[in-house]
Amino acid sequence: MSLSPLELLAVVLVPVLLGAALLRLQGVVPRTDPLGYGGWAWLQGALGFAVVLSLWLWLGLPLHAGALALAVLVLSAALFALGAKRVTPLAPSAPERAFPRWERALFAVVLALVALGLADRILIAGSTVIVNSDEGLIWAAKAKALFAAGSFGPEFVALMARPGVVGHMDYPPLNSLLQLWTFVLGGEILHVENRLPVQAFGIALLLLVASAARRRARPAVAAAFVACLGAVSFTSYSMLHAFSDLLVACALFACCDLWQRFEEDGQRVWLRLFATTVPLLPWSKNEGRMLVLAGGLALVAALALRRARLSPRRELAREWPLCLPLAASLAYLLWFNRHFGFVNDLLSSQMLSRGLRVGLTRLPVIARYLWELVSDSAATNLLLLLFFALSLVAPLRALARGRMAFTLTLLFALAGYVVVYMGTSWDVEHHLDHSAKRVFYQVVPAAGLWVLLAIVELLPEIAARGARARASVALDLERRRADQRLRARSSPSPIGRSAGSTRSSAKMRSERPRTVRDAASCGSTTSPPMKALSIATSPPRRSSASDCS
Amino acid sequence: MRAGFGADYDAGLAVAAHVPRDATVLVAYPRADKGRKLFRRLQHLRTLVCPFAVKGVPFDPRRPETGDAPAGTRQYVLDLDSGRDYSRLERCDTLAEGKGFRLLVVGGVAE
Repeated sequence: MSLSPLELLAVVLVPVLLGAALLRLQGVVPRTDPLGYGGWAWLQGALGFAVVLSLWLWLGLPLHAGALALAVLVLSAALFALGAKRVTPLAPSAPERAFPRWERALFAVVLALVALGLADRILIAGSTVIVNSDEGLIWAAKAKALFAAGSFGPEFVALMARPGVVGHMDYPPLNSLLQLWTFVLGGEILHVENRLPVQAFGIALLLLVASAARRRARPAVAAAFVACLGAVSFTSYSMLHAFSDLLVACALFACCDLWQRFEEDGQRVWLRLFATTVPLLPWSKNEGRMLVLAGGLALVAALALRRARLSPRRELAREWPLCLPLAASLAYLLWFNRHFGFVNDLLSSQMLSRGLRVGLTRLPVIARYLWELVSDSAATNLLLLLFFALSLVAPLRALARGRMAFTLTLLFALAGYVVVYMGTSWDVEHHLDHSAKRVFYQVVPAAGLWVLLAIVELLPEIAARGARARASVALDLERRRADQRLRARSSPSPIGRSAGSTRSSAKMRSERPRTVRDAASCGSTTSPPMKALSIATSPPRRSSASDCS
Repeated sequence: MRAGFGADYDAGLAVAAHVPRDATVLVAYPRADKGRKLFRRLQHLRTLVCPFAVKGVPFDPRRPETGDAPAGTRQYVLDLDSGRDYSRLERCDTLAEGKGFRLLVVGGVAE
């Protein structure tokens, strides 16, 4: 009944090889980013495999594992050869500062422990069959219907038309197609192993988180971030169930990370990878479509206000082909549902015409749920709370150039979820009980990345402020000693000595602090101790003469 | 797998082996046996035998006449110890039997 070890390996390996070929075609090789590579290979491979499998089903080709695997491997080899011939891979970024060995070891240990924790969850999940909830009634059910029908032909139509076979028929097909691949490998419908490709997104998310953290932070900080996201309760919960929320969370994290990479160093590879990763969102779940809308609006706003790296006129015109994967995906998925007559229950229930007044009456309930979720340390590790807090504390920084699109994407996404709950046809409390934890989890890893970026940016400033305070205390002491020396050297006349001393110390007070303040803020070379302080605390940043003038 | 599903796993295998894919499986259970446990069991069965369509049919011993197959039709019944007496039916064959279940075909097209 269960898959052999080789078949289990093939569940993951065949899509990963396709993903590796797609990455090579876009100019990414393992040494570009060893940690991120594994995660991107799975994301690209899973999406590519779903596209191939969809084509297979449309063509009505027999669902034989050997034939399908062979076709995918041949395609992978062709894409890889094409990439190797035409595209120069992106070299790894400049060698980083050498960090202490203990710190690097700490990062490796934390990463290994979180990976072991996730692997443990996968093994635990192996003892329970898929029978409940969305994983059984929606995702696995659709995969079973596809396997039974063998194609998108009349038998699939007949199966989907029968009441009670598949719930939410309009939900996107990625999860079900990946489960279908396990059925094809097993030659029959399975009830446990079909979780594996969904669980692989958990491992991919871990690799992406580790890569994103290590790129921006020193190993100890990155280790803390990996541990923090690994400890979010829904991440480990997702490893026990074949829900699609993990797919959305993983895709959103990857997209935000790739966009930020492009903002940081301007490498086109990140933009290409971003463009081919974004379609994962609408292929994963309907919320993914909403996230695409949120991200699109955020990007348009950032471009209009010139707070994004792409300049709106010149470069956008050149980069328009990058929109094709997303446009094609959205068009296909919309056409698919229309073709089979699948309709979203929320949209069909006149959600949009429900009116603002009804929605507004629900706001207090939704706000209460959101607050409970945001302040629930187990559910979100307070990452959403930190995101809100830091955005409110430093709004200019949150909306600064290079960060605006990211911040607005998260805010629009959260607002989007609230709007959906405002217009739901269900009892709002029941709907929130049923789904809020899962749905809001979709933005938690990305919010975590946002918090990490903000903290990494803030840490040197906090350290510099502390150092400045310490330096001013030391200077105050020095000034007092100088005053005492001046008093000791001054004339014996008590009146003249007092007046001269007061004048000279007042002059020192008015001059010295300014020099110190200037030196601390500009990293002036006039004071060796301040130079050392500046190197230890400040990140490398562009400084100009005007900064110090 | 068997530990996870218990007898229902064997019931699912029996359905997959004997019932045509386009047929709806009627799951007969005692009407008195309501509640969360039964709901979950039916849901498990529904997931297990998917893509077969499943329809729950409560059996009430006080009204035993209900649920007979209309003339000229064939019904596949997965009986979960409902207490219904199938022996009185004119055309009824047991396709499979296991702990806590019986899979029957009731009625049929006249030959």
